[in-house]
Amino acid sequence: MTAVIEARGLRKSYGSNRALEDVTFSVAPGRIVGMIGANGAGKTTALKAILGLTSFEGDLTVLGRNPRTQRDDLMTDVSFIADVAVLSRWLKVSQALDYVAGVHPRFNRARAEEFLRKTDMKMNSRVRELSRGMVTQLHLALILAIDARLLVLDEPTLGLDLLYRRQFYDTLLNDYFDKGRTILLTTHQVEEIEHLLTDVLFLRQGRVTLSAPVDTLAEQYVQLTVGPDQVARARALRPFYEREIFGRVAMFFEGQPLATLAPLGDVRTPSIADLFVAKMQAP
Amino acid sequence: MNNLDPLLDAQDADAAPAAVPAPAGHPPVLRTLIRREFWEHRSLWIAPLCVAIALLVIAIIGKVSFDSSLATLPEQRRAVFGMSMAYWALPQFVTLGIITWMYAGDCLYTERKDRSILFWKSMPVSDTLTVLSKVLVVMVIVPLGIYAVSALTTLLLSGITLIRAWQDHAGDAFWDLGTWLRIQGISLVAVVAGVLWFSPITAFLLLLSAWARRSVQLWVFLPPLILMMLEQVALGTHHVLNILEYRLGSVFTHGLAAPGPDGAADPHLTLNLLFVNVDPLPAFANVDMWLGVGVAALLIVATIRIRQYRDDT
Repeated sequence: MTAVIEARGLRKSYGSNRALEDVTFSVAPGRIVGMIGANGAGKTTALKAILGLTSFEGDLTVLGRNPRTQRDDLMTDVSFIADVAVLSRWLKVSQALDYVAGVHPRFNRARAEEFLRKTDMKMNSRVRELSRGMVTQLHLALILAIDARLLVLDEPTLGLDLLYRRQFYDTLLNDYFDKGRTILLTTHQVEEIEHLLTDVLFLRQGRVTLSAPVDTLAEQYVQLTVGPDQVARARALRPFYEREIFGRVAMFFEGQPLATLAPLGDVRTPSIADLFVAKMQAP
Repeated sequence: MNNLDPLLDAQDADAAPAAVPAPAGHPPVLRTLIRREFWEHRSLWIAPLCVAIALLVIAIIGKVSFDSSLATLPEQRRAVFGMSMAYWALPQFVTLGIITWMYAGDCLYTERKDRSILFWKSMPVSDTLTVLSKVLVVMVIVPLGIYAVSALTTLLLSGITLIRAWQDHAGDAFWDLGTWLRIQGISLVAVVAGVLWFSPITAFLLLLSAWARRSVQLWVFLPPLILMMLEQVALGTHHVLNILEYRLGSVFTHGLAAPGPDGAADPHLTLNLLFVNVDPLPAFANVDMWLGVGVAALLIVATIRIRQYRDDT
């Protein structure tokens, strides 16, 4: 199976600040990958490298191409939404449609117009007259009408209220995603998207700390919650992170068999958000 | 699969990167990019139209008429007519200079300032084509467009003076198609010469607009000023200043100047000779002009390279 994205030893520094240090991962087709990391973990830098927007060291292939030297060709197959503020304020809705129709060979204008008809956007409005939510809807309408193989979303719902965020992801899943497409996205609101991810990729200070399909997390990670009496015994099994909740202690284990842990307390598969916090705060 | 386009169905997702359907030829993409420039920089077409309207309003309200008291011979009348046509065109060419400067300094800067470059770069458009579309706008389309508007304006102005001459008996009715065409021809050659002569400056502005993190206009003036001061302090010479003076002003004094009439004492004759002899063609024989064009080409290539490495930061 040819990977959509193949990154090996990706490195990037801004002056003395190392944004990416030896990042290696691969993304298979038909997956929805959540790239999750704290601010400054290197998410945006990684996405920019994938999109050919920044220089980097290491090997990176996206849909078989080198994003640095073949960006324009690559963008025929890749769509990208940064965050809500990147459509020019002077742009009219009709001009946005004309532009994408004029430059993108895989843009289906009728589909974008159909999507926009469901909103109360006027063709004559300029982006500066639209609310943030509406600008996102416009951008989404443009992107969803492009028959791309990889969609990259960098904090696509930043600054939107809950209603728009829900709508955004629902549209993405129902009207866009299928087996032929791959989605790579970053967000701060992990809880909101964890149900739609098929894979997770954790970045911490420019390094990949976890890269796995969501359905294999249960085999690898266990969250064990124990009462004070079992703490010492559980700790002996070397959790990589623990935190106290209402007098009980939640411990996170990697690669410990369920059978060993279950007698000590309540076991469950940690949520992606909990796992992320655990991975980020583990020493 | 719910995609409407059969393209994706035909494509195996596992297959190696498919041959991307070639964009439907360059002309349509380029046309869209050029339209985009006029959407964003509306002053490119609004400013010349405003100037044209202002000139026409001035001609109507200001009772401008053709005064041929300066000239009695047909040849001299033609010269005065030609000269007034040339003067009426002047505001448009000043406008051209101003909007060229503003546009070239801004067209690759605003997209980074408002971060929209992330949107433009998410489209399958090469940096080369993007920069070339801007070069085409600033060095071909706008100059020729302004030239056309100006030619049309002088026609309308002549019409206004003719109508006034017949109606109010104010001034003389004078129209000479040959002279008008000649002036338009000279103006067109002068516009082309001007665009080529100033092309290194335009290209330098384009480069700065792609490169500067902030305040493009400061970068326009700072390096030459510093160079001039350093040269003054270190060598006590003025070469940088001389080069700049030559490049900024010389196309009109050296390239377009009429050969001086030998021993012409008669002012009418001088006026006449001026228009008989004005010829911008020698400007094209000036090696410095083509050197400048070469520098401009290099600066444009550099601009394309810079845009390849630019994002919203």
